[in-house]
Amino acid sequence: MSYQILLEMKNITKRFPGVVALDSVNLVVSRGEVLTVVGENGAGKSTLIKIMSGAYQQDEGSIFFNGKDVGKMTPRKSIDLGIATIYQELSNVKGMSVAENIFLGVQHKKNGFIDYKKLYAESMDIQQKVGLEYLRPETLLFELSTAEQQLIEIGRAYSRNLNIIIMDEPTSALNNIETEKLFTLIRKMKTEGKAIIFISHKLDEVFSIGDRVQVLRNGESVYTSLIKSAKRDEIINSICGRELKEMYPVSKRDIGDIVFEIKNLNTDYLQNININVREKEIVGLYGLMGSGCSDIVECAFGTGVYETGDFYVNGSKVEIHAPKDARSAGIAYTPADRQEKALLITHSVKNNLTLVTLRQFIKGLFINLRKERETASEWVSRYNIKIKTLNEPVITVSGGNQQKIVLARWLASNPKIFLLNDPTKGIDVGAKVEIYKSIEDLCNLGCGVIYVAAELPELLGIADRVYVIHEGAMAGEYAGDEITQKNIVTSAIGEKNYGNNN
Amino acid sequence: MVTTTKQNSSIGSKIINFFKSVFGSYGSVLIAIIALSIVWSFASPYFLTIANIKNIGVYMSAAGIIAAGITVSMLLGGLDLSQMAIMALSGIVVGVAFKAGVTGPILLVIAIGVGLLSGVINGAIMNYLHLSPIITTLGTSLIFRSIAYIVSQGNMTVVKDDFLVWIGRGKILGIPVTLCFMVVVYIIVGIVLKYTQFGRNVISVGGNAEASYLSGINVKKTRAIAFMVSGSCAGLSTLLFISQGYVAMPNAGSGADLDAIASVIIGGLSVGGGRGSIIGTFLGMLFFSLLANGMSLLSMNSYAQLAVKGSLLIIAVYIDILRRSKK
Repeated sequence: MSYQILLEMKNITKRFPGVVALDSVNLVVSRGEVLTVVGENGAGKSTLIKIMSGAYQQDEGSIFFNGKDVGKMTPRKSIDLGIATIYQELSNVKGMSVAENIFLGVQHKKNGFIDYKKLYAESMDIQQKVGLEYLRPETLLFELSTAEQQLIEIGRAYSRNLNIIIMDEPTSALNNIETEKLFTLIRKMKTEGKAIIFISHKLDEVFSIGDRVQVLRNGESVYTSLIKSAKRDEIINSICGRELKEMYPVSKRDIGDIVFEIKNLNTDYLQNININVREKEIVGLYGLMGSGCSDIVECAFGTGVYETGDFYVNGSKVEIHAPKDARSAGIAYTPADRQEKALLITHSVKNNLTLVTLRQFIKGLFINLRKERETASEWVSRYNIKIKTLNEPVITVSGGNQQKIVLARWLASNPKIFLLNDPTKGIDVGAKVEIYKSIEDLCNLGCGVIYVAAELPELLGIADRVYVIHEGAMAGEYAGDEITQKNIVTSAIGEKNYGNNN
Repeated sequence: MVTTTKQNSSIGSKIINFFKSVFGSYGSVLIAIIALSIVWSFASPYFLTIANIKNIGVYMSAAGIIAAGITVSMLLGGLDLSQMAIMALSGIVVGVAFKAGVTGPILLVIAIGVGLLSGVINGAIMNYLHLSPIITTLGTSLIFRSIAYIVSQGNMTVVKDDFLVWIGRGKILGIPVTLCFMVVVYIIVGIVLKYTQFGRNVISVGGNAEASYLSGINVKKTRAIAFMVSGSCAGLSTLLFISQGYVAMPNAGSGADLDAIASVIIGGLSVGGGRGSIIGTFLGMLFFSLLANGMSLLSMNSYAQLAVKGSLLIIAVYIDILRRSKK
C-alpha cells in the first residue's frame, strides 16, 4: 500500500502558564491509515487534538495539509479541511432527532420551511454508511444507546467533507460487541481513504485496529512504530517512562471467612443471584454491558429496587433499603460514574474526603474543622493522593487521584465490604496500578471486595474469584486457575450452561 | 512571654487571613460597596449621617432575613419562591392572633411558627411527591397567598403591640432592635452552614445530590430542614415588616423577595446550588440597600429605581462570570 501523507505536524509546541503541554511534537498521518496515539492522562493527547481541530493554536511549529502549510488552525479551517473530532463527551442534542443531529447546523430548506422529506432521505444515506440503517431518522436521540449516539457523531462527520477523523477514547463507553462494530466501521473508512487518529488507553485495541502507534509522555513524543514491529512492553515502558514490572501488583493473601452474602436476589431483570465474599478476597463480577452486574452492587448498596433478596454481613442478616443502611452495615461503594455520582466536583478535596465520615469530627453540635483538616491531610499522605492543597476543587485533580479520594473517604468508616464499580474507568495506566495497590491494601485491612470490571484483563490480573453474569442470571463462577479469558468470555456471552459447569 | 506574642501574632494573622479570604472571594462586591458609598457621600450631605446609616440598617433587616433563608435554600440547589407568600400568610395570622388578644413575644413565636409550618409543607411535597423545589414553592406560594387573602378578606389588620413597637423603634446599646435581629440571624446561619453537619450536608447536596445520597447523607431530611429554615426566616421577616408600619397586609412582601434574591446572587451564590456563603449574602444585601437608600436620598423616581437595580444585577453577574472564567 502506498501512503499519501495527508496531515503533517512539525515541531508543535504549546505552552500554558507554568507548563509546556507539548514540546516540539511531530505527527504524521496518511490516507487509509489508523494512527493510534497513547499516553497517560496529561501526556498532551488532548492538547494535540485540540490543535488539530483548531480549539487551541500552537505557539511554535507548523501544520501541513496535503503538503501545504496551513498556518495556525481555527475551528472553521479545520472543518473546511475535513478534519472531524469525536470527543469522549459527545456533543449532540438529546431532544432532537437522528436526522437533525446528523445535520446539526445544516438546514434543508424549501420556501423558507424545513424540508423534512429531503432531510430524512439524506439522513438515511448517512445512516447506511455508519451502520445505523435500522433506525428511523425521526427517532429522538435520548432513545439511543451511547454507542449509537457516537455513530451519529461519526455520521455528522460523514455528512461534511471528511478527510481525517480523530476519535478520543471512543471505546470507553462501549461493550465488546459495540467496539467490534466501531472497528468494522473504522476499517471501512480506511478503504475509503480516510485518515483515522485513534486515541486510546487500551493496548489490546491499539494492536487490533492500529497501523501505527505513537506514544506521548509529558508533552513529548517518545515512541513511534508500525504496529507490525511494535512490542507491548516497549509501549508500556514508553507510556510510563519507567520499568513497569507488573501491571497487576496484587499478591496472594490468606483469605478468611465469608464476610458478605447476597442470597436469592431477584429484580425485574436479575434472576436468583447468589454471591458471597470472604475476608481479604477480591471477587470479580463480569458481564457484557447490560448484563446486570451494576444492578447487583446497586441493590447491595440500597439504591436498586429488588423484589426479593437477603443480605448477610458476617453471618447476620441486614436490612438494606438506602445507602445509609448499607453504610451502617459496613458496606462501602464507589459508583462507576465518578464525576456524576461520587464527587462534589467543584468542592474542595477536603470536603470530598470527609463526605462520608463527617460525623466523626463533630463534637456536640459543631464540626471540629481543625481535626477534619488534619485527618484529611493524613489520608492524603497515607494513600499517596497527589494534590496541591486540600482546598483545591476536586475537578482540578487527575482521574486516578479522584478515585483515590473516593476510596479514602470510605476507609474511615471502617467498612467490611467494598463494592467497586469499574473504579479504573478513564484512568491512565500508571494510576491504574496505584488503584490496584490501594485495593490490595483494602483487602489487607480485612475487607472483602466485589469488583465490577468493564475490562476483562483486570479480573484476570487481580481477582481471586470471578462470577460471570449473562442477561441477569448467574452464568459462571471461576476461581484460581479457572479464571481464564476463554472461560469468562464463553460464560459472558451465554455459550456455557452454568448448571453443567458446577 | 514568647508564647503570648506567638499567640497574638497567630490571632492577628488569622484575622488578616480572614479578611484576605473575604476580599479574595468578594473583592468586586466590596469595591462596589466602597465606590457606591463614596459617590453617595459626595452626592448627598445626608448620606453619612448617623440617622441615615441607622435607616439603611433598618431597611436591610427585613429583606436581609429573607435573604438569609434564600441563602440556605439556594445553597441546597432549590430556590424557595414561596417566601413572600409565607410572609403574607404569617403576617395575617399574627393579625388574627392580635385581634384575639394575643400580645408580646408570643406574636414572634406565632410568626416564626407559621413560617416553619409552611416550610414543613414545602418539604413534604418535595420529598413525597418528588417535585422540584421551584415547582413546589411556586404552587404553595399561590396557595399560601390565597389563604392569606381569604382569612383577611383582603383587608389589612392593625397590629399595634408594645412588643412590636419595641422591635420597630427600640434600640439595644444604641443599635436598632430590627438590625440586631438580622445580625443574630446571620451569625446563626453562618455558624450552622460552616460548623454543623446539617450545614455541610446542605452544601454537599447542592454540589451533587446523587453523590451525597450515595455517601449516606439523608438528602430528604436535609432538604426538608433547609426549607423549614427558609420558611422560618420569612416568618420572622414578616414581624419586622409589621413593626415598621403596625399593619399586616395580605399582599405583604411583594417585591421584597426579588430584592433579596438579587442580593444573594450579587453576593456570589450559585443559582445551581453548592457554592456561596452568608458573608456574600450580607455584602450583596448591603450593596443593594446602599443603592436603594442613595437613590431615594437623591429623590430618584421610584419606578426608575427598579430599572437601575435590574441593570446592576445583570452587570454584577456578568462581571462575576468574567472573573471566574479568567481563573
